[in-house]
Amino acid sequence: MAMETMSDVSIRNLVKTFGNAVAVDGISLEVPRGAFVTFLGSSGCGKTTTLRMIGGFEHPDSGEIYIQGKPMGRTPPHARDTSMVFQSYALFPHMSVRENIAFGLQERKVGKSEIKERVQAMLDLIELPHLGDRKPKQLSGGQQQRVALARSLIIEPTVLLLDEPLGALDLKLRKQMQIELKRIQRQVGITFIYVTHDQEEALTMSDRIVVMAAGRVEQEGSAEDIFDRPASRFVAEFMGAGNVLPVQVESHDATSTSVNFAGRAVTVPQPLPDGEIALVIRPEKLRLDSTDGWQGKVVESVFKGSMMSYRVELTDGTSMLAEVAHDDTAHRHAIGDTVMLNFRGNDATLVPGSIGAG
Amino acid sequence: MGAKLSGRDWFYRGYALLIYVFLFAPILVVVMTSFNPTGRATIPTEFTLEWYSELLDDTQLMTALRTSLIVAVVSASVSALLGLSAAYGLSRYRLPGRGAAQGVFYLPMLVPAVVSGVSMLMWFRNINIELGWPSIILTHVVVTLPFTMTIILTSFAGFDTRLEEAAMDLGATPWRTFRMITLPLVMPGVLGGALMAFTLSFDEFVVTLFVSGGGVQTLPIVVYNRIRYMLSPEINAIATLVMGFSIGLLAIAQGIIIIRRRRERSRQLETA
Repeated sequence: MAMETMSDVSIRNLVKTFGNAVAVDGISLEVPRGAFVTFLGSSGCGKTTTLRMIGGFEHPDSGEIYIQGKPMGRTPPHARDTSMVFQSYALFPHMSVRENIAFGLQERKVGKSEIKERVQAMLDLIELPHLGDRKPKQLSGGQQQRVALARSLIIEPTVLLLDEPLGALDLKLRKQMQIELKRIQRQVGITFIYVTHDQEEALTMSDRIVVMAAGRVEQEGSAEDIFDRPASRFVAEFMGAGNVLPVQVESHDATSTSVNFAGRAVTVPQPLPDGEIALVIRPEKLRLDSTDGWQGKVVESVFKGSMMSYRVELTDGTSMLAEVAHDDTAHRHAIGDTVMLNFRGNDATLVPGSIGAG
Repeated sequence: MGAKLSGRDWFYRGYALLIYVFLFAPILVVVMTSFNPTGRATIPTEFTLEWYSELLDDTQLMTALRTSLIVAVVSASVSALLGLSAAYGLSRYRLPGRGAAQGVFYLPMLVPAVVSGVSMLMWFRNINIELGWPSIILTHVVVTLPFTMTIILTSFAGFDTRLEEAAMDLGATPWRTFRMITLPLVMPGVLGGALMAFTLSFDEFVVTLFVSGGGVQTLPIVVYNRIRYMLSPEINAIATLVMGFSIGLLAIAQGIIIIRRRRERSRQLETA
């Protein structure tokens, strides 16, 4: 129970259905205080519904959400200590930037001079000190995004909820805002729950990632955990693992498992998962100029700027994706070249799940 | 545009012109006659404001004008308020029978005025509502409600309900959310609806004829009663005034729209 006092949000067996569709199918998780937690998944996985239930916009069919230990039940949004940044920003079009940011304090009957001061401090935090008198429509997408953030942060919520807030921005601005969001989160020290379908975004910003699929939690862990040690085939593929390969188990003990992949043994430092298994190896972990390993032929080569991407077909017909840094240390391969492919067992992961389906 | 016009083009132009003459000549005659010392529909040779000054002394017409203005303001306000509630309910709640409810709201627009007039009269008698101010105002609310509701409904179409969620999320109660966010954003529709109701009420004749009584008479009814016996030149004067007033209202509304559009455009240029 010590965990509970550390959690800002704790979710127990949450279920939500819309008509016949099950949106959230029994989710339980803990969000530590001050953490940047991301719900990651494709559309329809239940991430936004879960976020909206935390905010009080939807009510669960069963299960309970606790915010700082208090059960929320059917508490309406205005009585919850959460604040949401909407994907569409939802800035009030008839109010100036300043009035938008001041709204939450006004509703809390904070004194005029204090509101003025805190709004200015927020405008400074989001680095738009001179745009307070504009209307939202007169701002660019990125600026609107910052105003929406300031409007939510000014009420000093226990938890800030962010529903794909960068979805409408172009790539360059998105990258910039990711860093910016992380900076602001560190500065204000509030718990952020962030929803996205973009794994790179999740990796860049999160302390913890919750990968969701079909209304359930697939895996929960740090960015490194999720990236390096996917717990299921789904997570591996969602994180862009590239190579998910069929293997046979040869031997295993408490800490390692030996498998046979395309005629050669690979030892992976992890106990054997239950059921059918697959070997996951990321394209950038493959080497093509080994003296020993699997022989293969380059069937496709794509220049990607900082790296070269090769598709290699092994002698047994297995197709693999390899990415090699594009610098003067790497030999450039042409289509049709024979290569000697190899990787370290330490870089591979075993996940439950059969290959047949893919 | 600079191309030479063919004979057929000239024919169409003349035809269109004739239609306008047909539509507006009678109105022009009324305006001209109101300034004509002879008080008849002849080509005026002199200009006078005599009929206007007589109009000001005509207590019956002035009282009727005052009655019509009061009825129009009160019924437009009530109609806008009810229209707002109806539009809010219809656009926000997916209740069973919602389509049927909306249909019922449109009924007064479809029922012939004579039928409305007769049934209103019978109903007011039945439930002992005095003929006069209450009956006229109630009737005008019923007649204008379909229009105010329709206009206000368009303001709710395309309303982003996330704005309301955001307001509640920031600590606003449902009432404060309505007051601070919803109402200001649909206000143009509410004002437009009220303006429409005012205009409709101001020249409502048929139904009003049935339900007026107790010495309370609106302007159209007094004017009608007057011209049945004699064509008084003051009528032309008041018709011209009322028309000027309506055109003025329209011009103000149009002006506001144009100014807003210009502002929008310059704003967009600023951000572009």
